Amino acid sequence: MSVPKFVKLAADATITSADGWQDLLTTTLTVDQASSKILAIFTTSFASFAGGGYNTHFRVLLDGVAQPCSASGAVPVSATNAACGATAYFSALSAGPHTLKLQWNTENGDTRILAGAAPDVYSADLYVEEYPTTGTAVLATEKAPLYDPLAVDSTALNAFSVLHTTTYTTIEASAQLLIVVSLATQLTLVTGSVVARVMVDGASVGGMAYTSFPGSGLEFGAAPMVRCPTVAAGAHTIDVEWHKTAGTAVVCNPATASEVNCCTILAQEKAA
Amino acid sequence: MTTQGGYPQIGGQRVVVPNLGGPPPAALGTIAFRVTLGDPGQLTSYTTTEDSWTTVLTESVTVLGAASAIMIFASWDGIKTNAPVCLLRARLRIDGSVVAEGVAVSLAPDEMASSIIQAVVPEAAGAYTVDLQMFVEAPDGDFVIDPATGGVPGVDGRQASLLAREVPT
Repeated sequence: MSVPKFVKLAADATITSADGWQDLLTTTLTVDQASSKILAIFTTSFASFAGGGYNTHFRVLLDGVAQPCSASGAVPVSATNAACGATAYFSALSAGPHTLKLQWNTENGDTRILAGAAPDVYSADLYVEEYPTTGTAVLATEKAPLYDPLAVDSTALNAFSVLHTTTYTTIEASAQLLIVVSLATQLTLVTGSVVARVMVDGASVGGMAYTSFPGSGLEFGAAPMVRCPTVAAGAHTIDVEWHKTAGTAVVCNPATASEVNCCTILAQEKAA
Repeated sequence: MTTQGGYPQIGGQRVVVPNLGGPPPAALGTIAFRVTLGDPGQLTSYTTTEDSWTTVLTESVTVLGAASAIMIFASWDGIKTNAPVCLLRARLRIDGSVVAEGVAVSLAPDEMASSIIQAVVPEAAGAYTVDLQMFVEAPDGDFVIDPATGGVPGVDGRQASLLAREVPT
């Protein structure tokens, strides 16, 4: 099984409605077995700098062909944020190298991912992995994942504070640590953003933000984050930190409000 | 805890959360282990039914190990097609039991939304049915996922996907 690939936007990117589909991230995954599938996970966070009420779209291309792997987010008004992400699985591949691209397209305005200037707020990340469908020899090396759902209420402050924390131990001397966070919050009565970032051993590996717009008085937002830093063997602390820019942002305990809010962390060691 | 609009409002302080999963066992690499990977569920089209959980995608997974778990990823990308603002919810089930939920978003007309919902659930050896369900509160209309039309002219690739597979614990 090949080594998973992870690419992360490191510089600011801008797109307008006149640009059509534009490349955002590119990577090459070498598939060892023709029977394998490819798992793709991407997440993004972006802002409107001109106007609101429009959607921005993202899609994955495999060897130049658009796949059923897409995500979209709506920016409610100008100078606000949105975030989105998707997972997908591709099959019918040949063994050998395959090129995967994350592209984006916006319906209006001036849309930016300020991954260079503000990486704790804006991001684009793409993770791809060969998924073997059979074979004990390959799969015997798979590491057990960690899954940790938040189990208490939490209220955001005006500056970053820990929303959820967990610990995962990697075994190999050098490994990629796949982290997928699914976050859903509510923000009351005002137009404001929920900002969240993933910390690994105290260092940020990137954030995202989405804006709630009080169309019905109580707004809900949800967005994922995929990250995959390279780490040494040992125990690693994974924190999800968050803050809000206005109003009152909360994540309710799944035990009492599981139908609307969550913060789950999935982590799994991968080959480096 | 108080409620507003039928949903909890909280002011509590965070407390320490136990690690529910724990680190992987060091000996895992020496254990014979097989995975049965179902074909990815791919959607033809879907429109929500107001105030009712409806199934978007269903997948079958077989667990072979005696001490394994099912790892599930699902995502969706669709559009709210009519007024007013609505609340859209999603959940994952195994054999009819809810194993993950809470990914809720508010959507205005013509707004699109996408997210990922995930779970890892220990299960005994056997065959399981996993599904992704979604829900829109009445009287707020339709949320449409339509890979055929794309939902928005000129935009392709609208989708929902679901994958469940056995993983070690």
